[in-house]
Amino acid sequence: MSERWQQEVRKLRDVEPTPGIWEDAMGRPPSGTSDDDHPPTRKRLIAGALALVVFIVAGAFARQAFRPNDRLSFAEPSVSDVLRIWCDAQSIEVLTPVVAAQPDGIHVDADITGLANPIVGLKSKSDPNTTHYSGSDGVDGVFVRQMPLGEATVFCESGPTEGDGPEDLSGSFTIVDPNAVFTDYQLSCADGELVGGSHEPDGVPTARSPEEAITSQVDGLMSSDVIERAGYPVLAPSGPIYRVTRDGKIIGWFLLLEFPDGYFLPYGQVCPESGLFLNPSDGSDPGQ
Amino acid sequence: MIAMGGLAVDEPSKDDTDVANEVAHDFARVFREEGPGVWRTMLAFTGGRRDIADDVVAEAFARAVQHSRSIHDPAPWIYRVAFRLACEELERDGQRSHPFPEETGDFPDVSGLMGALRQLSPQQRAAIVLHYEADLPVAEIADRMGIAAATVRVHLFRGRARLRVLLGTEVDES
Repeated sequence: MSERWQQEVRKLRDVEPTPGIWEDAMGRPPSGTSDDDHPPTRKRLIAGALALVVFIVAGAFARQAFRPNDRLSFAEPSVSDVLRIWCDAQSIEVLTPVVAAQPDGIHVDADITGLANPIVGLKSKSDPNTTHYSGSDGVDGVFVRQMPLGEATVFCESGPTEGDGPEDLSGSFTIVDPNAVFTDYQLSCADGELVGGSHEPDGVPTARSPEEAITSQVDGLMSSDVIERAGYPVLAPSGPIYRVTRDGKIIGWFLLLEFPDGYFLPYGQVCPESGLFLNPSDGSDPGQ
Repeated sequence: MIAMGGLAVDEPSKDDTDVANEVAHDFARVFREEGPGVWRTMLAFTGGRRDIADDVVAEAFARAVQHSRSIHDPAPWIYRVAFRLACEELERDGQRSHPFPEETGDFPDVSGLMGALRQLSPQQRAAIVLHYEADLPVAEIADRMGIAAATVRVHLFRGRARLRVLLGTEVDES
C-alpha cells in the first residue's frame, strides 16, 4: 500500500533509457581529467608517497573550499562569478558556495519556487547588522549587491515580512576576490560598534566631498589618519563606503550619501578604542 | 590484455593487484545492472533532461572503464561522477535559468511526475528517486550522492512533503 505520489515515482521504472548509451561510452576518448583517477603503481613505497601528497593537497583544498552549507556536494568546488541559489518554501540550496566579487558587487541569481512575492536577503558575517535585500528588482533575474568579502548567508522569504527569514531557510556562501577588485574595509578590531543610523540629515548637507563629510561629522580623527574610498570600484546606488586607517589598521568605515547640495554620512562602524564617534551635528545646515 | 564482457582491459600484474587491491570489473555487466538506474536518476535529477542524462551516464561509464583498476565499488563511483557531471551540465546550460524542457512528450506517462520533480531541489529529486524508484536505503543513497546520511534524510523529508502536496496522498490499496 503506497501513497499516490510514490506510485508516480515508481512509474519512472517504465521509462526506458535511450538506446546506444553503452556504445557511446565505449566510443569516447579517455578524458584523463577525472579527479577520481588515481594511477596504479607497482611499488608500495610510491603508492604511500603518492597517497601522502594526495592527502596534503586534498586537505589544503578541502580547508579552502569546504563550507557547511546546502550546496550540491558532488559539484566541483570552484569559484563562480554568480551566486546561484535555489529556494522553495521549505529549503534553500546554495549551488555556487564560493563566489567571486565583481567590480560592481556580488551578482545573485535566484531560482525560487513556491514562495509568494519572494525576497532574497544577503547578510555578511562581518557586517551582520546590514541585510542586502533583492528589493524591487525582483528575483527573476540577476541582481547585484555590494557586501564585504568573507563568510555570508543568503535566505529566501515571502515578502514583505518583518525580520529575517527562518534560520533553516538560510544557506552559507563565501565571497572571495580573485581579481582584487575589492578594497577591504573590515575593521581590525573584533568588537566594532555601529555609529549613526539616520538616513536623513536634519538640514541640507553642505560637505562638498565624502572626505569633507567625514571630517565634519566624525570626531576623534587624527591628522595621520588616512581616509579613502573602499569597497567596490563601481559606485553602488546606496553610495560609496570610505574607510579610515590608522597606523595601517582599519579603525572605521562610513557610508556616504550624495544629496543635491552635498554629502551626508548616515552611519558607519568604528573600533571602540579608536576614539572615533559621530558628533551631534550631522554636518548639515539646518537653516537651509 | 584480456577480454571481459566485450571490454578489453589491461590484465593487472601481481604487483598491481597486491598494491592497489585492484579488481578488473565487468563494466558491460555493471552497465546492464546499474545503467538504467543511473540514467533514470539522472533524468529525474535534471528534471527530465534526456540529453544531459544520456551524456553524463555515457561519460561516467567511459571514465569508469578508463579508471577501472582504481575503482573498488563501481556503482557508487559511477553515480557520484554522473551527479557531478550533471551538476556541471546544468550550471553550464543556462545556469538554471531555463534548464528544463517545456514539453515532456518524451515521457507522457511521467509528465506529471516530472513537473512535480522540477518543483523540488536537485538533491531532493535525487534522494527521492534513489529511495522510491531504485529502493536504495539511506546509507547507500548517501554513498552514491556523496553526502551524509542525515542530509539524505532531510532531503527525503522535504521532498516527500512537497510531493504529497503536488501529487496527492490518496492511498491506492492495490
